Amino acid sequence: MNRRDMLGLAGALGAAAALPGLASGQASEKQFSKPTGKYRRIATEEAFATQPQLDGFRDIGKFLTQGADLSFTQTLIGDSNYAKNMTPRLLDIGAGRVARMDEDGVALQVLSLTSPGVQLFSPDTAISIARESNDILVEAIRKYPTRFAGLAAIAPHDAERSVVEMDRAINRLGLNGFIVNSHTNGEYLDEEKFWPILEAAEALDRPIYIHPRSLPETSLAPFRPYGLGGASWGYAVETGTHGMRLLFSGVFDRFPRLKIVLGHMGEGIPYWVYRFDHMYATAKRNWGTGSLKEPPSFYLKRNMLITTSGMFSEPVLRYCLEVLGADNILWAADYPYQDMREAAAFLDAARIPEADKVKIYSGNAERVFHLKA
Amino acid sequence: MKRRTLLSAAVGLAAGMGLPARASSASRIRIATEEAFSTREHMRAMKALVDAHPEVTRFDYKLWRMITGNLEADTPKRLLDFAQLRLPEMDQYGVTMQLLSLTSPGVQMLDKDVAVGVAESTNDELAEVIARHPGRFAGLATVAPQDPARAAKEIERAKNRLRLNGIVINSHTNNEYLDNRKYWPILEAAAAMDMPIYIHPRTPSDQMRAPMDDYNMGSAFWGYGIETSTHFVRIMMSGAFDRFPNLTIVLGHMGEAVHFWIWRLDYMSKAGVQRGETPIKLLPSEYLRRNLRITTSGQENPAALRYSIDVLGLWNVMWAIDYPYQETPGAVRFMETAPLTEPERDAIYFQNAQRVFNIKL
Repeated sequence: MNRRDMLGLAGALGAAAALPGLASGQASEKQFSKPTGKYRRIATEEAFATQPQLDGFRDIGKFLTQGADLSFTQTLIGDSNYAKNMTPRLLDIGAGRVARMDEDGVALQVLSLTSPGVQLFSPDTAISIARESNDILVEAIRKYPTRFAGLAAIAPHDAERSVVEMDRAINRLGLNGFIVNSHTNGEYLDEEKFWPILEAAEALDRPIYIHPRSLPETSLAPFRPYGLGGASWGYAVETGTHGMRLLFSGVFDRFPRLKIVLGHMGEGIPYWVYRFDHMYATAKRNWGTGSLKEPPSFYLKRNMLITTSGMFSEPVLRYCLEVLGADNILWAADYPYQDMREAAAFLDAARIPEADKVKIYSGNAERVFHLKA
Repeated sequence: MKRRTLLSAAVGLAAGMGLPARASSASRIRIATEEAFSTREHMRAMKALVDAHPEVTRFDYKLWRMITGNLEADTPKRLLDFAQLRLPEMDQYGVTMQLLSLTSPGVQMLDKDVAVGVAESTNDELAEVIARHPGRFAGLATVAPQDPARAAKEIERAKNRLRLNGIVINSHTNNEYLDNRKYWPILEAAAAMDMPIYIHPRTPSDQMRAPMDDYNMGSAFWGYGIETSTHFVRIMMSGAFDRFPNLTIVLGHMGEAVHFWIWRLDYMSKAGVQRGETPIKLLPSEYLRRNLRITTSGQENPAALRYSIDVLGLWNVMWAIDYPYQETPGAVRFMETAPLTEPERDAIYFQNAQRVFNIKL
């Protein structure tokens, strides 16, 4: 074994500690009974993969040697038990997935190309795999129009061609929004080079879902030990920071009707709503910093929505309901990485007003993603 | 009329501040647990440091250029004061006691030997201040993690000789965290001496900082919380709480959002165990309830307070102002108006602090 192989192996092992989802994927099904048919459950952060994307992962594996994203993508195309369980489920956007949804009481999945989407690829490859994947997604939706909707993959590192694809995705393919897996080459959507993407999303009246991915390599060091770079901690730091950059950069003054969706109960941002408003106002008063027209929380409530993916906690839900209101929260499971039944059991049992529950399960998703009620 | 006088006048008329009449009642006990001070020697050392590195544009250097640039300005004046401004303000708002800690980043930006010296003299001075005003102050000892062996010794001295109530560490030291085995003598001494470690925020470590460098996000808006919560999670995941089950870590700012993630931390930990990893013995939520205490500093948010009581337990939440960086009347008003039962209010106002920090009134 040469040094590079050893490094690769170490990377894969390091990543294993950070992988989302259960090893078997079966365990929790015994714990949660099948949800009843009372609600129209629309799950809004549900992952799939396409063969062109996995082929792309195989290609980059040939010349990239490190990085948490790389480890994750190489795991998906490898032959570990994790991959044997997870990858076929990601690739299935047909009868198998629909049967699973029936089993678990889910009416509709809003599908998105699994993280990190096409953002590791060179711009040309990324655009082409994004287009192919969007076409595959639309085929699945046409086959199961009442069971699937979808977010278009885009390649932020080619903003100009992404805008063309965004227009095609909504006006020709009838998709429901866009997915961006946090940073692209260490850059965030608040930066001016990405503004055409924000402008297009606003003009097309469709949200951008900012999904987690690993922190940029340059920021990863404090999170390397104990597998903290992944779903247990680092993903949230990365994605929460992305959301905060959007809030504080002023893009919502520039694009007031832009909608951004964050998973995992807002990636921690709602917990800080008092403090960042207070400190922002204090800094503005004392030092004249900050150019937002409104307090940061104003944009959080007007321009951002959060989903329950991977955070099936009633106290967190109640907290978020209190500070954000019921119109800003959507249900999500994060299939196949997390269990749809567990996600449903959590919201079914939550002690919140019934009307709020209906909004979270379906009403808000129907509105934001333009789904048929 | 000066601004402070105006404020005082308004508070005298409790209604003007939205304060219920009982806020000023002398009968309620209030112990504020994250209250900053500095010393002349600390200021001199910090000034020497920022003067020696005029090229550094990092947020904490900019902040310390400002603070040490004019010691007569409001913030440094209040940091260096105990009797002239601080005690009258405490009296005015009914603050029984402040638990003092050397303001962030303490001695952690200084060279090792300087840091050790400033830490020891700071602790001596702190003990004197406490002795001079019986019943009004308690204190957290400063240590220099740069020298773990001497830090451990200083913890012992702070406990046995100076009768201090815990220690403060301002998150990373030279971009390293306390989970690093070389710092475990500090954890060991703190656990053995029953001295809680208050992990206070500072500017995020160099490698964490880049995505937060814009829009001042490396500061209290966001970066402080990421830095400090990540520090706690690293300690937890390192197995330090298995090795030192009695170790108590205190986090300000309503827990730096660590426990916002309590469900997910447990879920991911269980998934790791299913994959055959055995990183730590207990679930993260069990360590959060056993080894973590939190304070309300700078988070006057009733929903976050209720959430914290729900998931961590009433006995793990303490009141703090973050004087002089946050306003005393706001912190008092928050507690007086928060939807709490009276027993809950007393637990958070002082009983938990007495227990956690061994404070005798």
